[in-house]
Amino acid sequence: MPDLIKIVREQAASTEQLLQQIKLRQSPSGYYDELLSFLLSLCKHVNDEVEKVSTIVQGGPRLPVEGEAAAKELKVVFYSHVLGEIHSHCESFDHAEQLTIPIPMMQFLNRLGKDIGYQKPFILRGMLLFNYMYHPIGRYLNALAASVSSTIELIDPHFATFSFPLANSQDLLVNCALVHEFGHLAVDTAGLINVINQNPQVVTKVTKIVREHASKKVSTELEIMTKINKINDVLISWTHEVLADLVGIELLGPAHLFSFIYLITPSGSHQRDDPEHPCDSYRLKLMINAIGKFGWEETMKEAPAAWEIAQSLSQLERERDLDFRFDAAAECLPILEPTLFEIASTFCSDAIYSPSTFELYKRQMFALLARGIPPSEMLDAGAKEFRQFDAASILNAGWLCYEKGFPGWDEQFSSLTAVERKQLLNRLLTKAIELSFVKEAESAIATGG
Amino acid sequence: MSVLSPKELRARIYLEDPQDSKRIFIVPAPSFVDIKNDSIDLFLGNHFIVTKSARFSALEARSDYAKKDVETTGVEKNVASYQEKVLVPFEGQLVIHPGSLILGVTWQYIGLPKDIHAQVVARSTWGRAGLTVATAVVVHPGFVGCLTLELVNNGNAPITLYPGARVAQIVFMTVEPTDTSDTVSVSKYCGMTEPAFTKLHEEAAELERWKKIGESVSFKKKG
Repeated sequence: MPDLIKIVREQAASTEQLLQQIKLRQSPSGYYDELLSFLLSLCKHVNDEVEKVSTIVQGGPRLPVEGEAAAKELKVVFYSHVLGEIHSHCESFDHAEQLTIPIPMMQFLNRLGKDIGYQKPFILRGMLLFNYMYHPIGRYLNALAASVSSTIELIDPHFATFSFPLANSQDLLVNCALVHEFGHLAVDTAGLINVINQNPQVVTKVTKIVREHASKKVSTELEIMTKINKINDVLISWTHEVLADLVGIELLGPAHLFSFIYLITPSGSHQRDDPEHPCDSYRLKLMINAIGKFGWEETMKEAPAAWEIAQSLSQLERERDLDFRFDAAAECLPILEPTLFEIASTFCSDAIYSPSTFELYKRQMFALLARGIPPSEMLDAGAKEFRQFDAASILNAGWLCYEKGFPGWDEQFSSLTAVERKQLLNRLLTKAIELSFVKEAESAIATGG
Repeated sequence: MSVLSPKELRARIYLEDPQDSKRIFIVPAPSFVDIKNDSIDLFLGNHFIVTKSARFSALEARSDYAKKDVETTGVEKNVASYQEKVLVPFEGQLVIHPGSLILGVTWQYIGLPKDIHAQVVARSTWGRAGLTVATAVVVHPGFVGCLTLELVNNGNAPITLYPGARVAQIVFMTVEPTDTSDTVSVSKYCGMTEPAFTKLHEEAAELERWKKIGESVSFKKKG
């Protein structure tokens, strides 16, 4: 039988070695360093704990053993699990070279955090799975650390990873979808889901519906309660999704909706719910409402094809009877809608991106893009200083340029294919956002900020 | 052809309308008061291509002629295997060793109107340290993009490069206006914001033509 302690000790050493190797690389932001230091510290503590156990459990392979030694050996098995978890988080750094991570998007998300007053650490994680995802890893890692040692310095409990498909690493336009993932972080950080429970009228109505659905085909209170819990889990996940969508529209406007349409269009299941997400058609309906509420309808109409797709998909009826939880949650969500809208707008109030800002810059940005110039700055009449555009406006101008079929490019970039045009557009937007953040930093330094 | 004076440069750069056919784009624009000379300083960007030890005998553009229909040619593969893209943060640095080549890029994005031609020249401060900054000095009318800088250390000591360093300057000259679509198609590197790998393989057809001419005039059998 193999020596358990020896194996775990070796596992700890190789994991630490891997982390040390990662440390030698250049990370895209301080948040990556923060996570890495935490993992390294956790790994070292695991190593120390295993050493302590090895002094108690002497001798070779003896599983099962009795008494304290057995308990300690069980602990060692747990340490092996912790090391496995650390190892899986190392994957976050695998594709985290500065050239793989969409750094301007990362800067933009960080800026959004500042704007709404909830600046929390996050990292972007390129992955092979073609999906965008939010993982709130902070609390989980802290719980893991606390179970190893009470002396480990914990990480920010809101630390998150936002995953994106590696194939999209240079596609700034599609990566606007990351604002939705940022929305999840904001919803978690601000505890917005709990806010819903503070409206007794809404809670009463929702509770009634949930109980009605849960009572179908079962009779004992235990069975009903089990079903209620299952429905509530779905309802919480869906509410999270809807709030993240609304935060996305409020902070980024149409660009957020464009990226959503772009990503869901190839999918053939717009009417299908899943435990984490209400169906696309429902989400679209709410985002379209938000677009109207914040005055973006005219802007959307400038991209008639996308606007039409959004509207027609939003009118599709969701598939019923897939799962009792989905039917119940789908009946509850419309009751929650007004509260969700209110919560999202109150939450983002100081940072809501408005059409008035965009309208101010729009003509200049389109004219610059038409000439193949990054839309980063404009000159007011008679001014001796250029004015910088903000990142949200740059992204919205980019999406409209794309949706309108690259106006003005036929003469200048006639030799480029449609794919090459989109790549060029992404380069121009990336450059514009880089310039925008650098200019902002320059101004802050000049004013002593 | 005449070099634009500071006054003419200010008039061309500080135009409100992006569609104005006379406008020169330097993004970010130099501040109005800083345009005092007939040249504009160019800052080093933070994207680089560094070279590694080659694992092939030579970069041979002509040998790829037969593979012109293949998506990735041998030259492209060779270039990719010995060059590596690097992003250096603005607070960082990159050392260029004697005799080595690094491709850099200007921080500024340049857009030239149809009647302007530009030339990039090194700033003597860096030249005297042994750094050659630009070998492809001509910027054609209608060009848009960040300029790739071919950085070579001709000195005997390593030189540290910093993103944001004023390594070169650009001088603008008026020329007879040309058709933009023609001029843009001349450059393979338009609209780039990072240094681009060499597209040496695109020279293959032309070199093959010369090879055939050579074989014809020297009565050699085709090899």
